[in-house]
Amino acid sequence: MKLFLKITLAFLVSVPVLAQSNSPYTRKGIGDLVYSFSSRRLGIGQLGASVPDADFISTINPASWYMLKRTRAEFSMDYSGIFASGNSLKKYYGDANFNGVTFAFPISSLYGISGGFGIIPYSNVSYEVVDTFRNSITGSYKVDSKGTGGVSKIFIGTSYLLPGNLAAGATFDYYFGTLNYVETVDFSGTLGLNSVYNRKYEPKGIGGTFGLISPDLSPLINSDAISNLRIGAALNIISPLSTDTSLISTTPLDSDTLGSGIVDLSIPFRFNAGISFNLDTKYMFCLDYLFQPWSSYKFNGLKSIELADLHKISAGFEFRPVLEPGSSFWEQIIFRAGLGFERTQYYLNGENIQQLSVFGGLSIPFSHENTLDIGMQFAARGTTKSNLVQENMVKLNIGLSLGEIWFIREEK
Amino acid sequence: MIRLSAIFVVLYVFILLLNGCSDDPASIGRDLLKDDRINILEKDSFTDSLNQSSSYFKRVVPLRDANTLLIGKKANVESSLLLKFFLALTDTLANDLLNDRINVLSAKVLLAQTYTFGDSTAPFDFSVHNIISSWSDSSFTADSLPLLQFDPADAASNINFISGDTLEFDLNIQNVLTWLKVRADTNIADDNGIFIKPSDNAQKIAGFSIIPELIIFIEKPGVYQDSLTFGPSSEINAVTGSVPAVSSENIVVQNSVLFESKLWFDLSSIPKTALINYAELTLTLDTNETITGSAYTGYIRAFFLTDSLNNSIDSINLASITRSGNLYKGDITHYVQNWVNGTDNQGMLLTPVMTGEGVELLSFKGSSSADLSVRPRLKIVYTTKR
Repeated sequence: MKLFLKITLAFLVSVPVLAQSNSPYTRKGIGDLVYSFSSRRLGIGQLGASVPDADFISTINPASWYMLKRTRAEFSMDYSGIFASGNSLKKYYGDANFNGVTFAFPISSLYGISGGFGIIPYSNVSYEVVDTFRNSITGSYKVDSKGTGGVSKIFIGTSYLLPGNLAAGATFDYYFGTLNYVETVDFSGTLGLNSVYNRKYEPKGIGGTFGLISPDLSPLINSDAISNLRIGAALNIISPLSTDTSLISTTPLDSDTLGSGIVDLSIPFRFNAGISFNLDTKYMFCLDYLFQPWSSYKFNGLKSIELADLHKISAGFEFRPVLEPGSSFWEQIIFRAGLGFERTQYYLNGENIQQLSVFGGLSIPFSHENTLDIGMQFAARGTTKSNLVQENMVKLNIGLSLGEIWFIREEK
Repeated sequence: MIRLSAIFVVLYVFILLLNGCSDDPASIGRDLLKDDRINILEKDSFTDSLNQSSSYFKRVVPLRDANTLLIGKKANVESSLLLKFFLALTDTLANDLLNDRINVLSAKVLLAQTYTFGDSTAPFDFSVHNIISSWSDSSFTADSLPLLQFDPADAASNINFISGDTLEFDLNIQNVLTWLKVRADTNIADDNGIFIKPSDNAQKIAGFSIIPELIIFIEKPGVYQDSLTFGPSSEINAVTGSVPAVSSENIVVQNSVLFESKLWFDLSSIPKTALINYAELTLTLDTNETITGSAYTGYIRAFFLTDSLNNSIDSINLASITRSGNLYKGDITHYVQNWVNGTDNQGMLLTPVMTGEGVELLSFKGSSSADLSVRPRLKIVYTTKR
């Protein structure tokens, strides 16, 4: 327990001092979507709706908790680097974030009942664009457009093993966050007074995530090599988020609220389905599809012409050695890899913004039930056509998955 | 556990190092934000033909608290001086005065010159008169001057500049003795001082330190001779002036007299939600009509007019309009922001920096100048949200 607290504290204290990254695409909608915060999921392509876990906590599909054997806690932080290219400029931006924390604990092994809760990001807004202009009266000045924040969710849920070994899970989600869009006209060094426009959205509301994972279907194909064949699906729905909005203009001489009010922000449902199986026990493969109709996103009742339906396909692989007495440190390491293609929710200047990703990762055991998890993603997104931005991204995710026996009661 | 810590620390340091590699934000992605960006706009009263109006007027103000004592005549201005001295006496001297045991041998006033308006070699002359009517420096204005009663006899003699910049003149010793006795006898009201009035042939205005000296030489026959030095207790510049002889399309600002100008621009074309980043007022000086003295400061002030009918101002907020060549320029951003925000636009008041010092006459091209390029000009940079 002390270990949990120390590590949590270390993350919370150290990470927020880091800088932010820069993707102007995140200005649209509610920003980039965070599919799964954990290093393990990142390593297998971010999804894995059909993958049950005894050693990790999935926030994609709560049905996967039914296999938990220990109380588990996971933390992660990540570093995202973006090589951004415009028509003539190329820049590199880095950003580190604390991703969240999740806890899950088995309650009844017989019925597959586990409980879980946590706080994780749902979306992320992070950009800063600075441009220099000139006028005849004051000379040169800069316009700085900056977006920060995002939507997060707190969830609490449970899993349950239905008759026929069909696993089901559900979470109750509370969504909240702040989206800040700040435009600053900076006359530093010249005669003018700076002016700042701060547009702020503070959504809050509830939702839920519901998931199913089939029983092992491998007997149906009658193959000795294939086991643990499962299909799974998860549906995430969010009620319209009540969003406090404000637009405040400020100069050193004046501050004025140009507008404020409460509006609805409607985030479309997210559906994720997948299939997974083990080959020769040690090799797990998974294939997933995710759909989220961002064309139905609404803010204050209005759809956005810059958002389109999101489709994501990912494939993952995990090598998990069978632990035997006397296994060396290196023989206990879990390796992962994945591929992903995404037609993102961004539809700009007549172009669907697409993203191709390669994933990798590993889990390093440091004691029984505890692993240090590392996930990596290399992705290419966007294009320089139509005055858009090409982003080559690298993401390094570091997480801890910790397991302890707390209050499990073995069934008789 | 040690291995875990080592790996974690290495990864964390690695992330920090990576993070330090970030470039500064640039314009990449600017087009993606174009619907979100703000407009930075300019407005120029000259190129955008903003309506404007200007006028000038004479303000009647109390004449106390002058920084310079002004005597003389020049152009449209005549300045007289009302002066009282504080005659502090010892009890012994007061007793001797009341018993007629003191004679005044001579008395003179010394004034240190600090300012000249007009040709320094021009004729300068004045007369000094005992004031008969009472007056108070807290309420005396230029309009009070015609009501002032004084002895027409000139009480001064031997007017002379000594040591270059110090003016000295003798006072009638009988008058001075009377002052002393009045002072010694607490039952008699104080004297009313002297009125120094420029002569008709004076062609310049001289300014003097506000601490003149009255030196009185006395004797107690057969006992002693002594000199007594006194400073002023009240002093007022009674500056009067007619409307200056300037072009009808010009506006004027003149110290002491006191002429001030009002200037108004129509800003209704600027959105009420605009943020004013910079607003610069430019005035063009008419150098042919401008007369400056040795106290010329090179800038004037603009105040926010709260009532243009009664010429009331917000005395806390002011802007300096500073000379650059033949132009006067100043930052009036906060005024424009107030007007745009909806504060009643009554315009601004242009006034001398030191209203009671010198008599500088600044003539500016006004809003009705035939040459549009020399009219008062207001240039504004402002921001609006799309």
